[in-house]
Amino acid sequence: MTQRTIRKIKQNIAGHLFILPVILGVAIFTLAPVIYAFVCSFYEIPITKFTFNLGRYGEFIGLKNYGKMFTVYTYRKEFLQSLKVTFTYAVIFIPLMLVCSFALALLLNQKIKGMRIFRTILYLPCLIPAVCSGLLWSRITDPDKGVLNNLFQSIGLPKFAWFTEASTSMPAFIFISMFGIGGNMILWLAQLKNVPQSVYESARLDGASRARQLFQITIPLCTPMILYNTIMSVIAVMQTYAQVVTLTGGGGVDMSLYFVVHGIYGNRVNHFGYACALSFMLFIIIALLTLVTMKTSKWVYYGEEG
Amino acid sequence: METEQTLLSPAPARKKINGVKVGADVLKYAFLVLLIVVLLFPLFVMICLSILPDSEINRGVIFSPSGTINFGTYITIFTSSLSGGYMRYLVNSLIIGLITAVGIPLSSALCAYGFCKMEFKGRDVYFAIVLATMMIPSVISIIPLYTIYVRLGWLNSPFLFPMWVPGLFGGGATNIFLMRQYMRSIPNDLIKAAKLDGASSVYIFFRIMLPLCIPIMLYVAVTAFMGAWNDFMTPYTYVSRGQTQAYTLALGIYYDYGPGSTKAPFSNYAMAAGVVMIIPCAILFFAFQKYLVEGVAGSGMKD
Repeated sequence: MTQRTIRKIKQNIAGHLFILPVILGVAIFTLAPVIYAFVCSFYEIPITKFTFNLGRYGEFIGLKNYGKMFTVYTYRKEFLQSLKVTFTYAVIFIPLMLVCSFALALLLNQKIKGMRIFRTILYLPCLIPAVCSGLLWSRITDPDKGVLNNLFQSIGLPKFAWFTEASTSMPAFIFISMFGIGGNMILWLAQLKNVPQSVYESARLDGASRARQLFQITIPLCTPMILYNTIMSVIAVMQTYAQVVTLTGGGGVDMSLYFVVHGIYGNRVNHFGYACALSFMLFIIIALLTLVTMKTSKWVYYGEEG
Repeated sequence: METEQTLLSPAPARKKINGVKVGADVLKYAFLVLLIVVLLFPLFVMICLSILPDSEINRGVIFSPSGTINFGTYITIFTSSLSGGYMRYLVNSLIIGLITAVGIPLSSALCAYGFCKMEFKGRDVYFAIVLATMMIPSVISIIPLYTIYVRLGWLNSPFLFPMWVPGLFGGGATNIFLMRQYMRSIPNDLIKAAKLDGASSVYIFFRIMLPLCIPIMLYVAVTAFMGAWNDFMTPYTYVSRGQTQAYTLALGIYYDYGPGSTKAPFSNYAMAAGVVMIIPCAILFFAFQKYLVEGVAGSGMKD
């Protein structure tokens, strides 16, 4: 009996030791900063007085940081603009990307010679790091010195303003974002491979058309992945920042590419408390969107056993 | 996978009228080739611009009108005073990449083993918490971590702590999840047998588990290296402009050649710098293509 208890305790200790790195990691690098940011969002913290002694350097101002976003003109203007930009991008880009990459995966899932090579090549553009991609696109889309406008002109099209005008910035940004289609395609392909061939066999024997197979077999069986990809895309798109900074150095012409994270980064030194409040707003928005997606996910098919 | 599919598909049922099938295939190929031309266009332009001479770089052309090929840009980015730090950035990025490529798979394998094969109190609660952190947007912690790093003296540190230390602590929820998924397919009897022979948990982990996990370890190592190598946000947040001793390639390229540049060199240098940055990832990608594209990752999504 005692021997068993000792073994149990030993087992418990060993188990905890194995997962110790991640427990520490989560505590130090995720939970501690999140809690700290939450506390700071209620303080007015003057320029560069970063400290843990909030009482000494910061002033407790309650919900004022959150209120500022909606009431104080300059803050409201920035915040609403960032919401507008982020949501415009999300509403257009996410469905566009999901549908296009899914269609591409369907195409590449077919048994045609050389498909593996196509998959590999189509994934290649995803290897370009954000920094290089930003540099590259800002160069390619340069209205005067860029390759694309030159190409347009040589085939008789007018010059496109790309990122030099507010009205064309968002369409241009969505356009260049689509070049990462290969990454999403790979995720879909993995799911498509999990659809058992036998289901198609019997459907074919029953004389189901290709379209019916797609809508009644492939898509329903892929719904868990559709849900997963949607949620992951929302989380990622809401945090868009690096792509824009490396492209334009800021938030684009007339804040046309000023995302929510731009606000957080822009205020992080001078208005640390406000930046924390902004990041919590973003957290709430992401959490709400995720929740809504999950709650409305009755269409997801989790197999026979439920 | 390929053989399985051909074995299963009943050939006669699929062969309709040959002409229609061939026509459809030709269309598919044509579409794919067109797509490849479009998607690879930026990469192609990047390589072309990097070898243009300075005098022709601003003419909006891809190929040199005078037929000059200028590999000098590649030498200049490493040697010139314009960007003397490039070698330093490269070394920094390599150090970070190598530490993460070893540390993250090891650390996440340790944790995954704990979550998957060890029995102890509260295991599932811990696992749920770890998975829940996947949902927390990283932007929330990246700003307050700045304050913590200031306190620790990690800001602009020549030892580059912010870029590799967090990875050693578990290697991220996604990696632990993938690793655990993979380990679940390894039979418990193997571990039980070793235990009966008197092997310790540590021995079992290093001598039995790790060798069996090599495919997933490689996958995690390669993605970790690429992630660290390409990471822009971390150095951008924790390294100030001008602190070149702590620049990684991503940050150095941004400050020296990007829209944040104060030096504003010709863009052929910028393109050459970018191409050099892509090379290691491209090599890794082609070497581990099977793991990356066929997706060890995807197989974990089943449940």
